[in-house]
Amino acid sequence: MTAARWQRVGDIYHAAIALSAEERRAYLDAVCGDDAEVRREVESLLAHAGDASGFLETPALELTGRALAARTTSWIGRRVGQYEVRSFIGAGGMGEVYLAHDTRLKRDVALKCLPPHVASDSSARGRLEREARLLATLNHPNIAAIYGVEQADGVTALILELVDGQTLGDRVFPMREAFAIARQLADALEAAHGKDIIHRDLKPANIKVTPSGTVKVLDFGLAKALTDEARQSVEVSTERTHAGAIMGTVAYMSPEQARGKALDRRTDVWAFGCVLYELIARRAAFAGETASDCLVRVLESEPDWARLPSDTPESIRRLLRRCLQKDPAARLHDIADARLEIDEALAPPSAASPPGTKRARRRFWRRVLLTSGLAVAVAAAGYIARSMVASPPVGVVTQLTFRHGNTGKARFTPDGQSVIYGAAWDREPYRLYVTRVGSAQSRAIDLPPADLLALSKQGQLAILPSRPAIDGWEPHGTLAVTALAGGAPRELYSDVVGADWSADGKTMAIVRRVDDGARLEFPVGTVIHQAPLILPPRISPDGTRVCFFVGYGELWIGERGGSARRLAPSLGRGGHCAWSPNGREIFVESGGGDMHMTLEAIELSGRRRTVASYTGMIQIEDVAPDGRVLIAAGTLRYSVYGSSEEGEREVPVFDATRVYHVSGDGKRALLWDNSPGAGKDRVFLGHMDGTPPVPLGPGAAAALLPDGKWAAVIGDGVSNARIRNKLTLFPIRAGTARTIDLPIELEPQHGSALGRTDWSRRAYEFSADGTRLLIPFGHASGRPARVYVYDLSGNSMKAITPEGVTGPAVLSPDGRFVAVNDGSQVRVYSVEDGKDRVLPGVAEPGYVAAWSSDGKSLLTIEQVADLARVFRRDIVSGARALVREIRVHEIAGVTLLDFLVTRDGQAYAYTKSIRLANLFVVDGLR
Amino acid sequence: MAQRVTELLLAWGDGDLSALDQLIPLVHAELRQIAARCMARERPGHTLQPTALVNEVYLRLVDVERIRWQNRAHFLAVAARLMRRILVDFARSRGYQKRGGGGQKVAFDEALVVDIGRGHDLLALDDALDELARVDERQSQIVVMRFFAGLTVEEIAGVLEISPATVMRDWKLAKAWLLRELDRTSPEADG
Repeated sequence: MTAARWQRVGDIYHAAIALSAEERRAYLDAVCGDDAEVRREVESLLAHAGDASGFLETPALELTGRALAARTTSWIGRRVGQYEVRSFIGAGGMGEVYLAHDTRLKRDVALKCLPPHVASDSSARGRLEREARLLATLNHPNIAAIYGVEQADGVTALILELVDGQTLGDRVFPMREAFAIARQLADALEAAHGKDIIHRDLKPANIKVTPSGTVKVLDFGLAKALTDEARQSVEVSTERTHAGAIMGTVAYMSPEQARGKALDRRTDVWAFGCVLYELIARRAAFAGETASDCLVRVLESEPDWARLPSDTPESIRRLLRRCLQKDPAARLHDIADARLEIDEALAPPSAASPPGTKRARRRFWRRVLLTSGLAVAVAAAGYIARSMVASPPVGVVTQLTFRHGNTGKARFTPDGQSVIYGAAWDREPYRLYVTRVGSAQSRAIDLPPADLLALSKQGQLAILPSRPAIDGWEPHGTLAVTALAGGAPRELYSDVVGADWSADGKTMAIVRRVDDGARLEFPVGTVIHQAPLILPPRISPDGTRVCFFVGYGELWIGERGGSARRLAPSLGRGGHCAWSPNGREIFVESGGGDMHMTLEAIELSGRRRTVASYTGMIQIEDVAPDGRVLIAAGTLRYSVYGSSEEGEREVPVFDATRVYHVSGDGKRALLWDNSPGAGKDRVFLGHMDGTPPVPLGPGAAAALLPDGKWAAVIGDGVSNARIRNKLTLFPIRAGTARTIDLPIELEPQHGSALGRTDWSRRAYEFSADGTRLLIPFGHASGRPARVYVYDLSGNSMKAITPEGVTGPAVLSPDGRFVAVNDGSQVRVYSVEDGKDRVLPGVAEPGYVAAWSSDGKSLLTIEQVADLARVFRRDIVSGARALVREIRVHEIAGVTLLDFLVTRDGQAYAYTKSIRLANLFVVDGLR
Repeated sequence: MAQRVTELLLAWGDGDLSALDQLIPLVHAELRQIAARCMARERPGHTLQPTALVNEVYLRLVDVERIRWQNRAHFLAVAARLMRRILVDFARSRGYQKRGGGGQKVAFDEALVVDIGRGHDLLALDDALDELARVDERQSQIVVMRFFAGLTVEEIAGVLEISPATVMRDWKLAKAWLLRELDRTSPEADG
């Protein structure tokens, strides 16, 4: 048929199709005449027209997808290796998933058939198997396990843990359940990230909740496992789509993923944020009509924050904002921090609920109690709950601040209606703020960065310029006074640690730091007490007395211009006090050893009564004229970081675990877990490569022996009682523990009796031959502490320093000398004859951290804010050179503790302590 | 992703045959996604508009909006051809893989019967479209663009520089022609 005739057929067809059957016949008769071929053609097309109307209207892509879906049913009944495919479960981007029965282990598993290119490509298969082996090490209750890879009859399948339940995409959850889910999700990610495994495709469809409420993250790391390594680096964008479009929906892609850049664990943090947002807002954080729209939103728009329900806690809003930072560098970099924020939302005193009616607040506490049960369930699942789950306090709690960071000192204003406080929020230094009780808003006071010291009834502020505590002492500096109404601060007294004003505003009590400790002046210029550590004082309402803590746990009381006496010992971690309005009692916090803290009122007679109990860390800040109490409450936890061949990484540990010693090769560390609760006083051998810690036994950590075969632990090696006059050597591998009786008592390195905060090194260590042990902090019964060296071969103990002089100290490799910090100088003592000399060289900040292997230099560490600098100092010339700088990712509330380096300066470890707190007003306490 | 596919498509349209090797896995991955959604849709409570679904998927593959105008017609035509080729190949052998040197036979894998309705399958349609092209190439193109690439009537009109009404007319006639051709050549019709 020619084009012209076909054109004619078309014209006639279109004209005819608009007509009825009758009209159509007449029309064809007229228009076709005797052209039978055209008429036959038109008629046969018209005969198919009706049938054709819905024909081809469903696009081919869709039909192919359907055919593919239908075909999957044909797998049922097949056998792949030891697995019998029994039923179809679902299909994901990476292949179809079936329920299969493991005929050998007699259990049901999920069997995921992989795309043909994996099955047919041996290098892809090899890669997958390697990857699967790594993923199989991810043994975590919130991660669906990978059992292995099966290849049979041309099929490649992953064998996975069968998880019952619905995905997050299948249903909605009440807010508190959403938090509990997010909490478990964060745990799962943290565990995987600890092994350098990134999910890369986290989304609601990949997260299941079992009927018992356990979260299971599916397809961990599979996106990478199914990706071509070679292409991954060169053509990330292709890789991404290839292994998966697959990799899921654009809506959960991080901006860097969307741009095809290299990915790290922060991509999971982003996706975590997207999932959490969706759980709460019940819509995707970045949605679009098309994928292009969606991508543009991911790259350019903020999520619609207004979509979050109004009762979303501030800690969660903050967390979402931090997770959904477009720039990975600005994003929350560690999923463990997410856990803290969620804990804050789940756990009281710091649980963020905007102040509302009393009834709303009570509802809130009830809600919190419900969720605390969830947190316990998580702990039972094998993970120590890091949340500070609170029991209900006595009184009505109103939260004053809602931010991420650490609070400083806080005071009610004279009318009791507002609170002025210092706080270091986010990454900012301490600043002063004012808030009205009952308002969720705080206003920054226009002053240079500073913490609060005291507030007078007349509206005078005493402030302490903000600066990091660089040398391990309580922050101290020059006290300056300014009016609340405004005006330039006037500097008054130097080296002040704490201060308070009398009610008439005429007298001040101050604690000053001096060379050998601290002294309390009341009034200023009259020293009424001296001690290694004195915490900030409070003057009684009548102005005649002052209460203060000497070290943590001991409350003292002093007379104006007179003497001081101990009022109450053994107040645990208590360190803050405030007078009751009538001046008859002193409110203090106490306890804390097991994470429970008590608010106590102590009379001048020494009689104590409990006012309220809290689970979590609290400290008292002030008492208002009407008896309301101002407290700071929050969380404290530790993480251990160390250098490894792949750079710095978090060493897997428990919650209250700190690092005490690093092996000479930098690969292992001695960890001490003194988590609250019975039986938690344990020593572990930690691994810098990320493998889990190995428990050694009860006791407090001292040091590893240089041969790597033994660990020295303070205690009898059997009981959890804190026995301090025995040293036990635990074998690292096979062997029998050996316990030694000592003539002195040993203190673990972080004993704080001298007032230095914990990070300064007072580590135990052995000489290179393992015969001599440096004891940086030991004391004979009832005597002040000093440095000792213990000779294991001769069973002899030798005092090195005078009484009262303790570490930081290091032992020379040959065990013949001890170098001890003496102020800003370093003094070297001979173990043999006890003689000492000061090392040449200028005085400098920092402290001794290691004695080099060749014995010729000392390594010292100087810490300024988030930067630790390791120097090598020549013993003869005193010349020093920078060895390395270690920058710690600083977030608010972080303190570095236990900074340790090896003798060669190449490996290090430290403990990061994170204290996050907010302010609360408690009403109704009597 | 869309940018990448777009580049590959243009390269392929310009004669770079190796671009196809990289495109095929992308489309196959999408297919699995669709299959997954189809499975999901079998469950109660799920309703999805098939056309919207495919449009979305298609747009995930090719970023139509971002093509420069002068390229656009060329590009859409190329994209449609590509989709036809991939989908037909996919149906022909599900185990088809360009990687590793041509289609490999994989156990369990036989042709995937893609039912296009009216008792016909995709492979027969592919043949019929070749026949239609001999009679009316434009109509064949319209079917390829609409059926394989999910383009709208307006988009097709833009590509072919004809009116949308003409596209619609051609589309209807082409469908009738194809259905007749399929009925004529199908085994049942022969028997």
